[in-house]
Amino acid sequence: MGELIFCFGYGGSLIVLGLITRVFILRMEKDVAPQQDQTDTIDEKVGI
Amino acid sequence: MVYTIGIICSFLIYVLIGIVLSRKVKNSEEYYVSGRSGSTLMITGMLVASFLSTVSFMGEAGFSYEGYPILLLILVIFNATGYVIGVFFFGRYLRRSQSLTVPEYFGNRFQSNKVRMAAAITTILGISAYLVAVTQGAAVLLAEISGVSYTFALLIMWIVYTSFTTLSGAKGVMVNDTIMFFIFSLATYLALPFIIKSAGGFPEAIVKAATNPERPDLLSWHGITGPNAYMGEPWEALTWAIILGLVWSAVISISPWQSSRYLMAKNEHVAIRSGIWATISIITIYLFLHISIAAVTTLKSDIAPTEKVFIWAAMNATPLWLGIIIVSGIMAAALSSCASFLQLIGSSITRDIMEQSRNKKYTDKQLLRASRVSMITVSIIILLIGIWQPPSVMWIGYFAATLFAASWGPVAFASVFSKTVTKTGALSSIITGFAGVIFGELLNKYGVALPVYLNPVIIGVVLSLIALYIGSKYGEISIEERNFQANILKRPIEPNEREEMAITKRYPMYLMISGVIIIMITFLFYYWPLTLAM
Repeated sequence: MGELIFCFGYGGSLIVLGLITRVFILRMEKDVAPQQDQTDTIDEKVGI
Repeated sequence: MVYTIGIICSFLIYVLIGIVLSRKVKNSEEYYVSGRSGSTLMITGMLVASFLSTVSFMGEAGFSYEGYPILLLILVIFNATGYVIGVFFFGRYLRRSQSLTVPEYFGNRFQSNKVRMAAAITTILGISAYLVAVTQGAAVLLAEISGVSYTFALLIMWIVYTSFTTLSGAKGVMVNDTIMFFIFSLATYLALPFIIKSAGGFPEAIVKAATNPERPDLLSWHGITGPNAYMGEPWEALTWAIILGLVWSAVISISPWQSSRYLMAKNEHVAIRSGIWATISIITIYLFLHISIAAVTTLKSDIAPTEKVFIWAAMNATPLWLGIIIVSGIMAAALSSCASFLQLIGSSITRDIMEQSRNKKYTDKQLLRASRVSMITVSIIILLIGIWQPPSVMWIGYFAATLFAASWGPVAFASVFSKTVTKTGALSSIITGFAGVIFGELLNKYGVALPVYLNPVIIGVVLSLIALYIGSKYGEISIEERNFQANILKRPIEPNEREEMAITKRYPMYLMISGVIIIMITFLFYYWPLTLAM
């Protein structure tokens, strides 16, 4: 039983890390989004 | 003889690269952090190459051969998480600080020369011990292969890594580490099919390893346990693997030879991607290496010392061309770690101790010269210790590396996220964590048997956390400290942020796909043959 758990756990750890990393990267992207949107809005106003 | 020629050729290439790149080193930033120009490939190469050494290919391979391949892989499950935790919780903030060394980061973060000095001294002591262990492992290997004396082998090793590191600094270490990363990765991946073929083919080799009467339980999840074994009970074995795995995860996250690699990354996205590739590489390399070692037990069960098991396999269970790649790969793993360690020690002595204690600012030219002199001096001391001290590859390596988990771990994470940690807390935590590990090791040395959950590192981490908490009750946090922390918490936006983010967003998927492939490989090369043996 322990051997089977290891078999799935070893590669499974990468899947779990993938999910965790996905959350971190999405949060990173959200950190940027408002700043970029703000810049876009200012550019638009200048254009008008 | 042909193995020696292969190794000598690889040595000459590394030294030549060092000589060529030394001409391109124009200032201290290039010498310390390679001009912060590292690509994903290069930072990954450096992370993995400075992590894997003779401790992995000799010490841990020997431990695995003695009866614990799966237990060691369980340790790696926890250990490898250090790259993701490290880059997201410490490495990227460290990179944002634009420091040249990790102690410099601590000094600037807490606006304290004492904190910087404490971090630098622990770097020098801890890494020097690790450097001794790795150099000795490589010298044992070189002496075994070439037939020269251990002392002469040690001298050759010393000349090679000291020459290219001193000449070209981080620039040469970065290029050589990447080449070395390719060599030992290739060696490990190619070794598996050939060793299995020599051991009777697939799946017979694994079935034989699982049913070998000389090593019962070799392929069980807990390895060989019992009154006469290294591990008492299965639960003790598991606890040992989890604790050491978590400790190594902390080592990977914050140790100077891992976290400082992010200082050389071109941008934050590169740092994150490198951390992810390094995780995948470590998980894959260890799996291939330890399944190979399990198969070797069926070919020869009395290799002594067991640390030579992978070298024996390279010379007796693989074709000559692959044997040359494997022994050169193990030497490469050792050299890459030695080079990184020496570079870090030299940088810390010059920039964090000499410059700070004399309270003077060196010019770039003076800094380069002082760094080179420091590196040569330290490497001579390491050489002398290596000659005097008997080799013990795995355990000195484990002791030295884990010192950082206790000494730096709590401060490193707190330096980024805590708003209440003071310089007094940071200083006490670094010193107490370091002393706690030494204290635990001394208890062991003088015959006090500590339970597995009271590993010296655990003692060190607990004391370090207590010291951080109590110490932070004293002293005040200055405006400069708050500003520094606020600055590193701001994410730098790259000029081509959208493109960079689009690439980085693919990386979680790479991790998950690799996970599925690894499950399939583990099932095929481990679990399925094991069911045939039952």
